Parts: sequence; C-alpha cells; structure tokens
Amino acid sequence: MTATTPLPASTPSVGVEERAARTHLFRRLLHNPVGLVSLVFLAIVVLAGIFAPLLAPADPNRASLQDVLAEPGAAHLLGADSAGRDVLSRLLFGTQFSLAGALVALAVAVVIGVTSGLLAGYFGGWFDSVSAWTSGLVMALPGFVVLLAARAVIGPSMWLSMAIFGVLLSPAFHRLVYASVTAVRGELFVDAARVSGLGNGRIIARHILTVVRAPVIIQASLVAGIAIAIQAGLEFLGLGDLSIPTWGSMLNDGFSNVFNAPILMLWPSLAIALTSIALTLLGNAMRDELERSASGAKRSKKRKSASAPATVPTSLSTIGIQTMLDEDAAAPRTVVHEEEAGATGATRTWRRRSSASRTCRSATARATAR
Amino acid sequence: MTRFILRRVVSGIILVVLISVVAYALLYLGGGDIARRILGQNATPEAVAQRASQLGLDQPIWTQYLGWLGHAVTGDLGSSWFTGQAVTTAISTRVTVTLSLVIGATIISAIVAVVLGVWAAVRRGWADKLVQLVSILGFAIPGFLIALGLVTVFAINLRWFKPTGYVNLTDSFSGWIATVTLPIIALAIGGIAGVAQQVRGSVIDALRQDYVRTLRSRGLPASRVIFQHVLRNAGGPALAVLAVQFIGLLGGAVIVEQIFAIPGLGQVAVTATTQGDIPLVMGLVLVTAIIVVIVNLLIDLLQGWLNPKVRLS
Repeated sequence: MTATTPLPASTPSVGVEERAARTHLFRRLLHNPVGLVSLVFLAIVVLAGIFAPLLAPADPNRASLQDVLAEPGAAHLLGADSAGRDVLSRLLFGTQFSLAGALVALAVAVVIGVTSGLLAGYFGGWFDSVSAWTSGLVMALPGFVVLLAARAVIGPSMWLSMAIFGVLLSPAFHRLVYASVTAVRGELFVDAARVSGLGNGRIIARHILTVVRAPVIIQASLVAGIAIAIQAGLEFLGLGDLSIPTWGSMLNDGFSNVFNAPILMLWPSLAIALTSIALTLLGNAMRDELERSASGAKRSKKRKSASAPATVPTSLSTIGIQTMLDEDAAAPRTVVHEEEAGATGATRTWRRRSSASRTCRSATARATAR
Repeated sequence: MTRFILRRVVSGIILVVLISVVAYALLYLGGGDIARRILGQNATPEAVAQRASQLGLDQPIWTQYLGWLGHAVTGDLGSSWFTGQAVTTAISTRVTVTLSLVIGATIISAIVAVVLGVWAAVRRGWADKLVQLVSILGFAIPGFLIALGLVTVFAINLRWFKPTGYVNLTDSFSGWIATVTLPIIALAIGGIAGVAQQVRGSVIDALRQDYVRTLRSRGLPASRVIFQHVLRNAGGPALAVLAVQFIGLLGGAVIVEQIFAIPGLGQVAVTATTQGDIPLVMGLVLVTAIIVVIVNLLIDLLQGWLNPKVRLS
C-alpha cells in the first residue's frame, strides 16, 4: 500500500517504504504468525517441486493398465489416475511444472513492468504517455480470452502461454513502479544525488530501485498466485501441454472421472487452493509488517503524523483486497474530496489520473485470473 | 452530458478497432502456413496454394485486414474454417447464454457485496473480520476451483442440481434458474470478494466525512444516511471495481461453462482454440472487446450519474 498510495504527501510513505525495505522484511515476517505459516508452507511446496525427481516414487508419465484408478495403497500412496499413473509422483512433478510456469509469467511481468515503470516514471516524456496508454489497453483486455486466442496460434506450449500471460500481467508492476518513482523523483535526496554528479543509471540503481523494491516484492507474491490459478485453468481446459504433469491437468483428469474416483480431484485442488491462499496471505503479511515497522520507526512516525490522513492506518492494517494489491481505500478520498486534501495543482492531476485507474488495476490483476 | 457520452463512445470505437488490428495481425501472421494447416499434411502444394488464394491469404496482410474490416462492419465475420458455419451465427446463438451468466453473476455480486460491505463498515468488530476473511478466501481461491467444489458437493453428492446442461431463459424460467444457479454462484464469489472490500473501504471513509455528521445531527435515520447519501458517494470506486470484475467474469465464464457443460461462448472459444479456427477466434476476440467497451461505457454513465464531478474530468 504504502509507496503507491496517492496520499496528499506521498513523501512520507515512500520514506517509510524505503526504511522498511532496509529493516529486514524477511526477519520481521518470521515474527508474524500468518507470514510464518505461509512462508513455511510455500517453502515446503518449493522444495517438493525442486526435489520431485528424488521424492517421486515413480515416473509421472508411466501409464499402467493394471493400475487404472487404483485405490491409495502400498503400491500407490495416493492412488493412480485414469491412465494408471502414480498420483503422488504426478503431484510432485506437477508442483515443479506449475511453479516453473508461474515463475515464467512472474519474471516476464516483473522485467517488463519494472523496467517500463522506471523509465516512464523517471524520464517521463513520450515514453510515459505511450506506456500509460499501452498498459491501459492491456488492462482492458479480458486476459483469459487473449490467452485462448494466443493458444490458437502458438499451439500447446505452457512456457509460451505463461510468457504471454506475463505480458498481460505487466501493467500491475508498471503502474506500481511508476507511481513510486514519480513520487520520489522530485525528492531532495534524488536532487542531492544529481548535484553530487551521479549519473541517471547510478541514481536509478542506488536510490530509486531501493524505493520500489518492497512494493514489487509484495505485488509479486500476489501476482504469483494469479499466475498459478490461470495456468491451472488453462491446463484444466486441456489447452496445455499434455506431455508434462501439472496441477491443472491432474484436475482435468480428476474431473472427467468425478463419478468413479472423486478423490483424484482432491490433491490438485488442495495444491492450487493452498498455494494461492499462502501467496495471498504472504503478500498481506509483508504489507502489514512493512506498515508496522514503518510506524514504529521514529523518523517516519513524526513525518507520518504530520501529513498522512487519518484514514491511512485503518486501510493499511486491514487485511483485505485493497491492502493486498494497493491503494483502493485512498482512491475515493482523492477523487471525491479532492479540495479537502489540499494538494497542489500538479499533484492533484497526477492523483486524479492515477487513483482512478489504480482502483481498477488492483482488481484487474485478479480479474484476469477468473 | 451528451458530449461526455459522445466522447466515451468514440474512444470505445477506437479501442475496438485497435484491438481488432492487433488481434488480426497476431492471429494471421503468427498462424504460420494456414492453408496447410486446414488441408492437412497430405495435401498437394497446388491444393494448398489454391486454398490460400481462395481465402485471400496470398494478399498483403493489410489488404486482408481491410477486407475483413469491410465485411465486419456489415456484420459479416467470415465463416469457420472447420465447420463452414458463419462466425456471426456461431457466436450470436451463444453470446446470450454467456451474457445471462455473466450479468446474473454481476448483479448477484453487486447486491451481496454492497450488503456485506456496508454491514462490515457499519458494524466493524467481528462482522468486519468475517467479511475480511471471506474476501481473502474469495480472492485467493480460483473461481474454477469453487465451481468444481460446488458441482461435486451440490450436484453430484447432494443431487440438488443437475451437474450439467442448460435450459434457455425463454424456454423455462425455473429450468434456467436450476441450471445457472451453481455457475452463477461460482462466478459471483470472486466478484463479491473484490467489490465488498471496496464498498467497505469507501463506506468507512465516507462515514467519517463532515456531511454525514451534519445529516445525522439533523435527525435523519441511520438507514437513510447510509443508503441515500453514503452509498452514493461510496458507489463510484465500487462500480469501477465491478466493471473490472465483469471483464474478468468473461474469462472465468470460459472455464465455468466447460465445467457445467453450458453451451456458451466458452465452449466455442475452447474448440476454436484447439482447432486453430482463426476466423472464429478473431470473431470471439472482437465480440468480447465490444462487450467490454459497452460495459465500460455503461459504468461510466452510472459513475457520471452518481458523481457529477466525473463528467467534467
């Protein structure tokens, strides 16, 4: 929430974010019960995926006619699917491929979104308007339909479709980074850096990137959940690559045998749901911790009480959608009661543009997943 | 107001044309040797070349696009490569099915979300916590998993509903309700989660405003303050989220229709996608783009009605 919130004075929140990023987000997470549980669960999932070749009792693609829809037992710990393939092995390898697919989407989204957001926010100019317009266009598309259309052309490649989905997700990062960067671009420490003779590249790397790091990590956690859901959806429809086991294709198999062996649906459903929930809760916990550490810091506390509106703490401490993705709670305030905030003309127009579009954006990222 | 509407309509048309250009270019240039794909690997090169010229594939891409656009404006989107059926027919028979699902889900999520959001904002305490929890779960769990859960529990185990099939609204209202209840619930839950959060946040913000205190001090009953004044101010952002949810629902409907075997756009989309039926896919992209633009226009109008300031910006 913090750095991107269109607050009357965006400086304190950015200062907060920057400090918080330095106060070891990871260590703080370990003291947050929700954060710790999600982190441990995700760690187990990741390890299960990485060590799938060692852990899996059988080849995930080896079919066996005798074992078709076998009950869970000594031979197959979690039973076998409609082709007699070992469910546990498929689940483990599915973890690997599902996570890898989500990672591809996330990486593409972060690289495109963060780079374009940095450039647009820092240099402005024509690139700013073009990228703002493009991200608006991308967000107006129903992501799933675009993925289906892309699948018609590129064929069943999970990696390519996840890369395309990454492009569709990139506005989520673009807007976040853009808002953070425009907020600090005029800051004294940036001017000071420029006066002391630092080049643009150095300033971006040393000062601007520090500011956007924390919000990008939080956003990444939420976006990863979306990517997992979308990928599972595509595979569930049978549009994925049938040669690799994924949670979605297991779900597909389970659903086609729902009358004979409904339990086949249980494991992939649990994997998808729990991983998505863990990623969402982790994002929330990180945000809460950043906020807590920020309000605990002396300097930022002083600055905060001076300028932040009273609504901010509530919306930050809640654990809902707007805190998860960003600044929805502040948006109505800035749009409807602009005069009250007493902003200068320049920031006011910026806020009007960004707050309205961002209200949509947080939901967009999610909406594309459905 | 007329200028406001006009401007939105024009920008909507520009958006649709742009999307069609991008989609056309990607679909037709990315498709590789299309005539070969239609005829199969055994076709002779002559047959392939003949088919290509028959489909106009030997012309430059922009000529092809302009030809397509010229026909599209008159309502002719070409015909499917595999069934020969006109794309317009294939889509128009199914678009009402999908729209009835998606609009139903939108209305349900708007109503439930407003009730939950206002309840959470006014009551706070445990009610607030409960709504937050529901929102998080609704946000995090993919819609198609919810749909699968609903089918397994209510249709297959409890047998309250038929697991698959669809009855047209015009044929039998009760039959329609029986077939769409589960899909609509599955679609609406995600929307409820997002919109309820937004309503809650905006209502909490609005309740703090001075005008609310003034209204209260004048002795207006709490319900009137909330439903006539607070909600009107809190409605704008919630509508924006609802519009985005609607776009997402179009995508979600694809999977949900597949699960419940409902003959909507989703089924066409999946078959066309697996076959690589480019004209049909192109038609689907265009129709979805138009639906999205119309919905955004309607939401903009509602926004302008709720908050006159929006019309000026």
